[in-house]
Amino acid sequence: MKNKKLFGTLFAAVFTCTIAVAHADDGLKVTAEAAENEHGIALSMTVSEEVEEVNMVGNKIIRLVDADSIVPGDRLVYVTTVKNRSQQSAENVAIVNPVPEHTTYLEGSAQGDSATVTFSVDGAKNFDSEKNLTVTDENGDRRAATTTDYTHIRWVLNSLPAKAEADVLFRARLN
Amino acid sequence: MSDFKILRKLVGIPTTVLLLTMMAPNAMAVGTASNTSVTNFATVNYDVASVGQPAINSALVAFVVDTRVDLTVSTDDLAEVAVTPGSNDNVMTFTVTNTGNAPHDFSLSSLALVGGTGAFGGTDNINANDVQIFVETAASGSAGYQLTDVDTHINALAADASINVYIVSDFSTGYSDGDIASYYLNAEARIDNGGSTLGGALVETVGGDTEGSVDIVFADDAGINDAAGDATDSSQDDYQVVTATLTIGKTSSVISDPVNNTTDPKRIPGAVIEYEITVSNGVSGATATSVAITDSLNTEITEGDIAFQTTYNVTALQGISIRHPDSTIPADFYEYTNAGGAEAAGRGAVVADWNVTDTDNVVTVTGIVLDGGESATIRFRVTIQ
Repeated sequence: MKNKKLFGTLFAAVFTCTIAVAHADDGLKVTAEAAENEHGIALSMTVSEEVEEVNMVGNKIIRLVDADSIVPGDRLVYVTTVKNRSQQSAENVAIVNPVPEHTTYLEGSAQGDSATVTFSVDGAKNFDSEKNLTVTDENGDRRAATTTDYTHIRWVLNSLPAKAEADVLFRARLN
Repeated sequence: MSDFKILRKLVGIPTTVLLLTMMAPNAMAVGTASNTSVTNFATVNYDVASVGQPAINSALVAFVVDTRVDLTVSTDDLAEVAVTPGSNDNVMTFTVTNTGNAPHDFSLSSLALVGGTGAFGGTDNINANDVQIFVETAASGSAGYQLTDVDTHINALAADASINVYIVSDFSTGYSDGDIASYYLNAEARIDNGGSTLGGALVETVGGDTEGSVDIVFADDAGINDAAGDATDSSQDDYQVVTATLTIGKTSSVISDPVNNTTDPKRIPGAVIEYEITVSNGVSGATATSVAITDSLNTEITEGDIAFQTTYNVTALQGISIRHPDSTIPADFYEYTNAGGAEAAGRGAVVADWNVTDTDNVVTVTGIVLDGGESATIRFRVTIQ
């Protein structure tokens, strides 16, 4: 009985090991598929131009048009869509966008449902809320950061449920 | 993402945020250079079951910055350019600034107003002669119009760069004080053709975007002599004729006679008569130089002879004296002698030679300088013989 029990334990150990080895052998492939099918997060982005127009009854309206005729001073809207295509919830979903070169982030424009928005002034090393950010000026003095100092924007979603998607956006002006 | 979806998102943005966004300044001296590619991508990090997952990057989104054609033309003159009749090379100064985001050549043209309100409020009523346009030539090295400024169009003005442009013209004689000749200067952005010649006209891209090429957008505002969105801006400046308008007046009074002395004196032989001649320049008049006054008493004294009082004592109001704004005390009369060029002291910094003579019953005073609004008075006494 004692031996049988031991055998059983050994068998279980060998079996487990076999499974593990098998997993390791083609594990890369499985993992890659899991990214698409089980844990898959897809990220896509669009840029549009925001134009002000006057409608037929004389009211100013704001319209989004394709960003294919952009000159300095134009307003841009960048929308990032994050999709959780898996069956599992994703947590601490952090989306980071650089403020594009040649543009200036427009104050108060970063939006996202249930997202905590923070900014970086040091190339995405550190993020903090707008009021806490400081930079060192040319005299070596610390001063409050302005929108022109922002290098990156970060949106953090506590969770993105399975099969859910969320949009985050910000506006910038072409310098 | 469909546009519909984005719009839905936008509707959800608080009104205050939208207002702030809309109020952001739109005027930019210059912007990102034409043909610059602006790219961006997003990165996402996330956990699944508390296990960190590899970061994922989105595909790049990019656009190419199109050409924003914009410019300003303004006059540097703060008031009408004063011109005197018969003068040449009178210079109006303008500044043309390329406020677009690409270098351009600029075509220049002037237009004379025919009537209408001048840049500084007057009414245009005359035209100048030989009106020409010149562009500041960097090689000239000196501010202001130089004879070496020979370019008649602006060549390859970089984005955000400015250059002076001059309208230079002549005026013939015969114009009156206050006449106004008003001119527009138009500058039109042209293609920078890379050479020293003027490039061809820019054509604004109409309709949709032209993929793979840099579109052209005319962003200029309307100027005083052009429309918005025509790659042209304009400014206005005026010439105003300023010429001296001298007026002269003469009064005489009897000071004394040998019979009545100073009580009701009459113009009898031996009487002393004082003459005052006042010459004035108009308030807006140009400075009059070399003013000469010649007063012959022969028409007033038809018989007999007169003798100038030669004691030259200004305190006693005798002799020939002159009151002039350039004297040490402008309100005082200063005496002058007839000793050519060696007039009496007491005229402060005045160095003019007044050349007072009293020969042949003629008083001659020369070399007076009168600015606009100034007047000089010559006073002398004679004794009737």
